[in-house]
Formats: sequence, structure tokens, C-alpha cells
Amino acid sequence: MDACEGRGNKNNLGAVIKIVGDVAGKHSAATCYQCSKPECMDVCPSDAITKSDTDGVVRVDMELCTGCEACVDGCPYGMMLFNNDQQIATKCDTCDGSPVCEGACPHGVLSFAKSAPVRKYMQDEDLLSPGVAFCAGCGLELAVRFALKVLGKDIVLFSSASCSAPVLIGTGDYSLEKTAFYACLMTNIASSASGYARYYKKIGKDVTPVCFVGDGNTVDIGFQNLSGAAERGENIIYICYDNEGYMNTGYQKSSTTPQGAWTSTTQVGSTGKGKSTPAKDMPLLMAMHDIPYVATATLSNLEDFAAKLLKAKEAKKHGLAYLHLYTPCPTGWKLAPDSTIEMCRNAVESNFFPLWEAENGNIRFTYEPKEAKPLASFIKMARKFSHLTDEDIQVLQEQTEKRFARLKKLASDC
Amino acid sequence: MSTKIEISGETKGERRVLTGNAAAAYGALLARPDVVALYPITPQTEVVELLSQFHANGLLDAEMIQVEGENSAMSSIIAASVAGGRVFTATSSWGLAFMYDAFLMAAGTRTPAVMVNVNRETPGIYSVSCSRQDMMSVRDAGWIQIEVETTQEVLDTVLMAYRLAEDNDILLPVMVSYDGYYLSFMSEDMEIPPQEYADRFLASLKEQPERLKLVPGGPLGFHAHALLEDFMEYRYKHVAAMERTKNKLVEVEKEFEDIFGRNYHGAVEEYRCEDADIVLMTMGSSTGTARVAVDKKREQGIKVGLVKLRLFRPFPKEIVAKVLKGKKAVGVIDRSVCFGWDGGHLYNETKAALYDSGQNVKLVDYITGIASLDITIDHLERAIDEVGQAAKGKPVKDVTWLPLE
Repeated sequence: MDACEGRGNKNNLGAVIKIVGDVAGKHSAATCYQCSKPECMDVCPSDAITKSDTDGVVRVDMELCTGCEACVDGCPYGMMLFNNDQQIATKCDTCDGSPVCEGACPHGVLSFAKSAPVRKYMQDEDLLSPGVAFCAGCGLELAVRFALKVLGKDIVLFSSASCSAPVLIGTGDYSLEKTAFYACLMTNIASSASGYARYYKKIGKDVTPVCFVGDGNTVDIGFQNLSGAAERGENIIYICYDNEGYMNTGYQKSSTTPQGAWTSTTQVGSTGKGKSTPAKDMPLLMAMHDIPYVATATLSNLEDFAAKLLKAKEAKKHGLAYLHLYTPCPTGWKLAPDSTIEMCRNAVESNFFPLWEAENGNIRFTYEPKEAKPLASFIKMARKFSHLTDEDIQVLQEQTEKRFARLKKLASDC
Repeated sequence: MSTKIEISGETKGERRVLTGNAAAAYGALLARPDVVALYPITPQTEVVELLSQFHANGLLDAEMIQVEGENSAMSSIIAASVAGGRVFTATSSWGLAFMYDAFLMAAGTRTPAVMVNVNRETPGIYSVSCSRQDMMSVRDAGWIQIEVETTQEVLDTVLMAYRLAEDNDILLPVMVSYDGYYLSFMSEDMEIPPQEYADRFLASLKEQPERLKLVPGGPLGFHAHALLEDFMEYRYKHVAAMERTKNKLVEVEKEFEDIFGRNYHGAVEEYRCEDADIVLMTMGSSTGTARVAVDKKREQGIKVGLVKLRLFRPFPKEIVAKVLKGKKAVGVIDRSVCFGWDGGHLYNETKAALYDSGQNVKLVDYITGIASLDITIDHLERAIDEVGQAAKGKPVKDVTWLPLE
């Protein structure tokens, strides 16, 4: 907060970054989210608050501010502050792109991420209807809403029976997305997209079939037709949203359910200890097809996700592009609905779900945590792991490290 | 076992000695499909090999998808069809079983696909041999099913199948079946018609209302959930379209005859039935054997005729009842087993058709020719003798397994 004092050579209006959640030694820093539709701006009677079209930053014009404090009340996050001495509102303006706080933090906790590209997508037309019937905190909904914005309307969406089905498939004449949609069987998503793409190839027109598919369809029952389409070099994008089980039917085990996890078909009891075998490493299996593009992505790293979607769209011209998304399911994982993104971040920071990409089989990391977070520090946030002993967690920890080491070796060989 | 075919580089009308598989491939070639899915299975393999050769020789301008299994074969052509293309694939028995979910989807979504199914025994008892158990196991799946007798009929019926499948009044997938090992591998003298004949025959499909297609950018869903009355309405319309197929096949064959000079008499062919007291009823390749048996018995003064069923789904119950009217007894030759009903499929379905028409004609069933056991002239002469006995009111077994019994 001291760093804020000297921010941007501006008038010293006090710190605009807060330390929050100071309970039991756990706390974090918070500041203005630079909302895409700022409430503070809406409530300001003197038009003193503006949102920049160029950098997305919300700023207060000190000349126009009347000190009414409507914005302080209006901000739902408590990030609009008030300087009593000068009687004007103040807030984080990112020091115009070079925040002093970032360098000042002695623990390297703060980093400045430019969200302009992602923010642009947020303002694009939402291709998924509002009020759709996903559970609170659903990672899939966030993923599909965002992916559609990045990929655009001129795609044909392929999916099947899954959590996405009631929303994406629609009923009768009604669908809840604004793209063309093809409802497949669980066994034939990639093969359906193949046939569709081939007809367009025959008539010499470009088309972007996008399969948006759960892990059950992808790693279990639909594995064969996906592998076949990849080998044939079909010009399609295949996105697997991995929520580690059959969540639509009530949280049954799939091949990506982690070892030890409770599901309704790997129950915990006097003899049952959850799933007894490790998850299938699906993205790596896909990379081994040497297809133009394979990548992992998740919701805590949206810019990484967006960049990979765009790469996939380009790579699709040369063959199959595969994205594997870590997509928490709060309901099935027994995770608090407001913890989805945090769980994603933890998975990335612990190397449980590393972020990487492979172009034609050449693997490289797109993000690496400075220091891997231990699984034990967060894994029980998802109460599907709540029965795990320290030894059980250690098994998962060792699996995670082994897989990460393998990936590192593969990446260094490429 | 398969006969090597020389690819002459042209498909002008010419007489050739061809296998049923080659005939199927030439039929598909003449139909100019946009997308073809290829997956091998005995006894169908030669069909996809030949199509691949046609493509490699520049004769077939289609996207060829060498899929990794039959489920993907069916799935990919459904989507290619929904995108707007004309599609073709071929399978048999175990392959048909492996594509079952997609097979049902093709019917429910009213996809105008054409598929050749080369009849083979189904899994359960391992066998690489002929029977019609495969096509009968999907008789309630909602496809149009036609079974053919000769290699010429294979080729001609593949072309006719497109006229049914893509007709705006029908819009249903069509399966053209022929007996594996018999028609698939045996060669017959036949004609490959000129491409311009096929083009002329299929041209009327272009004059129809444009098919609904799934296009990028359009908020249209394909294969969406159907609830309650919606679902029932889809089924109702599907059944109605199947019923329309019976007359449509006759119309299509009439046009076919005008162009090609051949006719297969629509859903059912009668052979020497006019004054017959008793008849044999057959499907597929053994019909040829039955013609010979009937001719031989006619020489002995026995008034026997032959009814060949070509259209199995929809079952032409009105025509069957009509052609069997006044017959004293009927011998049905079945090449499949209808589990749970003593007897074969053709026997049981013919019985149902006769009940509707109020006729009580004596039916005698012969389960024969399964597992590639030959249906011989001797077998059928014996059947005719027994049916003659039944016609005189003498006791004859309802169902006989030939040659087991």
C-alpha cells in the first residue's frame, strides 16, 4: 500500500489497493476489477467517471468529481475509495499500465496482466442465451460462453448428451445458442464433424466445425472416433471440457476422474476409497497423434485460453485441433460455487493441470508456475477428495510430479 | 475369393460379367455421391475397394472418408447429408451391429442416406456366412429395406434407392441388401448403364424443394430434443413417409423402365402365379433357384407359382394379401430366424398381412440357407411337394428346418 502513495506521479490520494480476508493468516490483495460495465460510472451524476476504449481502465476525472460518493456506494466490490481531505473519489487506474505495486511487492505476489484482448471478447455478442440452466458456478458455462465469443458465430457446434445438452441441443425448434448446432450421439461427435467438414471440402467452401464435448464422450465412449478423425487429419476443432466425470447423469466416474476421487460409482465406504486408478492423460495422448495443434487451457488463464482458441482455428486448416479444458463442476466435485476459478488456478499453480501446447507434436509450456503449489494445500476444497488421507494425497502428488516431469522432458526434447 | 475387376476408365453402357459387390460399387459410382464412407467387412469389402479404385482413377469425384469403424461410417455420412451432400456407404452384419446407434439416428433424423448391406450371419455364433439375420435384426429401425435377386438388380436398385431416399415425399434412409457369398462374390452377365441414363434418372431430384440443411451462422439445431407431442408427431410422419414409399417405388420403377428398359415389378414380383394353386414365397438370391424348381414342377403338371418379395420395409401387406388371394397353400422360404416366434421373419409377417385381409391361407415355413447352407433345387422341390400336401388338407409341419429336418 505504501507503493500506491507514489503512484503515477499523481496527486497523492491514498492507497487504492486493499488487503482483504485477513483471517487465520490468509489474506490477499484486491483492487478495482476495471469492470466491463462499471456500476460506478452508471451512478455518477457528473459524468466524472469514464471507461477507456483503448486500455479498458476506469478513471475518475478529478475536475468533474463533486464528491457525492454515489460511486463509492455503487461499486459492488467496494473498490471505489474516497479521499476525505480533497473530497473526491479515487480508484486504481493501473498507474496507466505500469503499476507501482507490482514491483514493490517483496514476495512477488502481484503481477499485472493486460486483459484488453479478453475484455474485447467480453463485449462481443453473447452467443449463449442468458438464464440457461447450468448449476451455480459451472465451469462449463463459462467455458462455452467464452469460447463461442472468441470463435465467432460462423461455426457449427457439435455436441451430444452431456451437461451441455439441455442448453446446446435445445428442444424442438428452440436452441439456446445463436450458432448452428448439431446434436450427436456420445459415440460420434468427431465422426459427425468429419462428415460435415468433408461435404464442405467437396464443394470447396471453408467451414469451422467445433466439437464441444465432455470428458465422458471424449476419453471413454467417443475415444475411438476422435482418434480416427485426428489420424485422418479432419479439419475440425475439438474442445473437451473435462469435469472429471459424467456430471449430467449425477457424477459417475470417467477415465479422467483423478485417483482417489469420490464419484457416485467410485463410492467411499468401509472398503471403497474412491477411484482406484489414475486419470487418463488425454491431452498427451492427443499430442501423440502429431496433429497440427493440441493445447490445455483453463478458466483462470483466460488470455491463454483465448490465444489457444485462435491458434486452434488457424491450425484447423491443416488438420484436427484439440483443446483440453480443466473445467470444475461445483455440484459434482462438492466445491463451493464461488471457487471454480480458484480451483482452476490451483490446478495450474500446482502442475496438476499444466498449461502447454503442442504444434505437430512439439510440446512447449505456455505458462509455468515459479514454484509448484502442493496439492495438499487446496485439494480438499473439492470435497470429493475430503476422505483422502495424507498418504492418499501423497499418491496424487507423486503422480502429478511424475506427469509434469514427463511433460518437461518431452518439451525439452522438442 | 473376390473377383478382380478391370477398371476400364469409363462407365458407358456395356455388358460385363460382374459380382454383386462390383454391381453395388458401379451403382454408387453412377449416382455421383459427394461423400463416401469406407470401412471393410467380409463379404462387403470389395465394394469399398472398388470405390476407392474408382476414386484413385479419377472416375469418382467424391470425398472418401476411410473411417476407423462402422459407427463412424454411418455418422459421417449422416452429417455430410445434413450439410447438403449425397452420401453412400456399405456394410454387413457385425458392422451393422456396430453402427446401430447411428443407424437409428439416420432414420429418426430422416437422413436420405443410401447404404448397401451385404447379408451375413450376425454375431453370437461366430460365422463368416450368409443369412438375412442382419437386416432382419434392424427391421424396426425405420429404414426402407429392399432385398434383391441378381447383380443387375443390385446396381439398378442402388440408383432407385436415391430416388426414394432423396424424394421430398419420403426423405428416409434406404438399405439395399443382397445375399453375401452368393450375390456378393458370384458373377453374372449384366449391363453397366451409361452415365447419362443415371443422370437423367436422378435429375428429377434437383427439381424438388431444396432440402433443409444445417448451415454455419444460422441458428438452426439438428437432432434436437423432441418432447411429448413433438416426438409423437415426428414418429407419425416417419411412419406416413414409409407408407408412401410403397407407391413411390412403383412410380420410380416406371421411370426407371422408361430410361433403362428394365423393371422389377415394384414391391412384389409374381412368377407363374396366375393359375397357381400353391406358391413359394422368397426373397433375394435364392429366388433364382426357386424359379427353376417351379419350372420343373410345372413340367410335371403341378400348378405352382412364385412370389418374390423385394420391398421388405415398409412391408407391402396389401400387395402380399392380394397376390396370395385364393391360393390353397403357401411355402415361405426364410433365410433368418424370428426368435420368440417359431419360424422366420417372412413367414410371420406374411401371416400378419393375411390376417388383416381376412384370408386364412395355409402357410408352411422353411428355415433354410442360414450359415451359407445352399438352398438347392431339391430342397425347394421337396417344399413344393409338402405345400401341395398341405393344400389338400394333409398334415404338414408348420415350420421345417432344411436340411436339419
